[in-house]
Amino acid sequence: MVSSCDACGLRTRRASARFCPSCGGTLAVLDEQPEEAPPAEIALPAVEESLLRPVAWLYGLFLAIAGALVLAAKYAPRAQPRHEVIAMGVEAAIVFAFATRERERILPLLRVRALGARELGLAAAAAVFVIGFILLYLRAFRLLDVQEIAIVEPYRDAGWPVWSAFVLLAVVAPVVEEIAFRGYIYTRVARVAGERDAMFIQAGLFALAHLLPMVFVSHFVIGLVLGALRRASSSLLPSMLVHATWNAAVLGLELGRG
Amino acid sequence: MSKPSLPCESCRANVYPGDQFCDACGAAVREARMLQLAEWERGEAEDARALVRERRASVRKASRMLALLAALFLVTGLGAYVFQRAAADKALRNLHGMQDHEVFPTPIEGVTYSVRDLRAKLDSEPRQILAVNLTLALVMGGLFVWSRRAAFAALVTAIGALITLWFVSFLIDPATILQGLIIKIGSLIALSAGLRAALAERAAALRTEASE
Repeated sequence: MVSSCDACGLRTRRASARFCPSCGGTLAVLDEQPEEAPPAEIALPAVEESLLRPVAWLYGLFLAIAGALVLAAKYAPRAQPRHEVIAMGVEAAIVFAFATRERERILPLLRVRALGARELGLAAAAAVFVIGFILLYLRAFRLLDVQEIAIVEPYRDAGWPVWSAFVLLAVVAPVVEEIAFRGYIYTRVARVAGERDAMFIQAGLFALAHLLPMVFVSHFVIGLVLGALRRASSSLLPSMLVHATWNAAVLGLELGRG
Repeated sequence: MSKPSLPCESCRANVYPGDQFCDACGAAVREARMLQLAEWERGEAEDARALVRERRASVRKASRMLALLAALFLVTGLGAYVFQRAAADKALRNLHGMQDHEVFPTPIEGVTYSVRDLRAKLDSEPRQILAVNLTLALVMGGLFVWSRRAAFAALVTAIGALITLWFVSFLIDPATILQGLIIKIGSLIALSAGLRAALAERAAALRTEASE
């Protein structure tokens, strides 16, 4: 609402004003339109902290689980597949608990109907990039004489079928990790820091959470690709598909080496 | 921050800095009250500016901490390389008389090595330490540059990276948690203070945007 003073011409936006604050003359209403409402969500520091604290908790829990796995592998290498199944179960339960608290934002990201030709095309392009990148990365490992990590081998050594490694690492892990990193963490951080920064932060945390210095670069780059895919498609399904392709390709390459 | 105001002496409605008359009842505002309001407004503006300065200083300090960490990783990496190289060369000289296929009699960290494996291990370890430290210096340097553009995002990532690094070192060797404890605590305090300041500044900027 805008009012104007009859005597001195001063204009004011004060809603309840009846007299001119400058000369004391009477005010006439010029424009009855109500003030525009302020944006619905102005995040204050307290709000931002309450958005970010659970993100820190989720990341801390991921670190704790990864750490427990490292210790378990050190002291009981024979039981590694069983430990990985337990760790994945705990991780899935934790991610489910966090994601349900943010369900009104995460559930729409899981809708199959929202997927169109564009999203699938982007996913295919990302998958091609990721596989090419992984091949180059492994070649660099060989050039630098870094020992590659055996992923399927512990499953075979413990007498588990090869498909169990695929189910756990190329089906369950991509679903859980996408909901955690591209779903919960991305969504929360984006509300505080904007989408672009959220993309970098989630990629950094995703890379760090694996606790392996040698995969840090590859996971950061692929984390960025998956984050960009989630941003471009507003869905978690393309990034889940690409993540699953990536993990399956790594397992397949290891089997191919024999 | 709300605008300073005083109640009108005749109707108790709010009178704001710069007002000569009450906008609710039209009564004149006495000069003493006008001066009081003007003084008050200047003080609040000054406080607000000081707060902004304080926040920016805190963010800059956190940013400089990242540069310092980068330099520290670089220096300790180079130092450790020189030191470990000398130690490894000495150990290699001690192995001189032994054949590759022999087994080294005393286990190292619970593992028994053949002389060939032990030579390879001794030879590559200093390089690995250098590579890890140089990578960390690069990461911290990158975060420093990023923190100049997007302080909040860079500081969140930096805190996550440092905590993960200390955690991994702790898993490998629990004694490392006590190494450089003062630097660890100091950097964590500076980085989280910078993070809070960056958050507050961003929120303040959003509010100004919304009110304009």
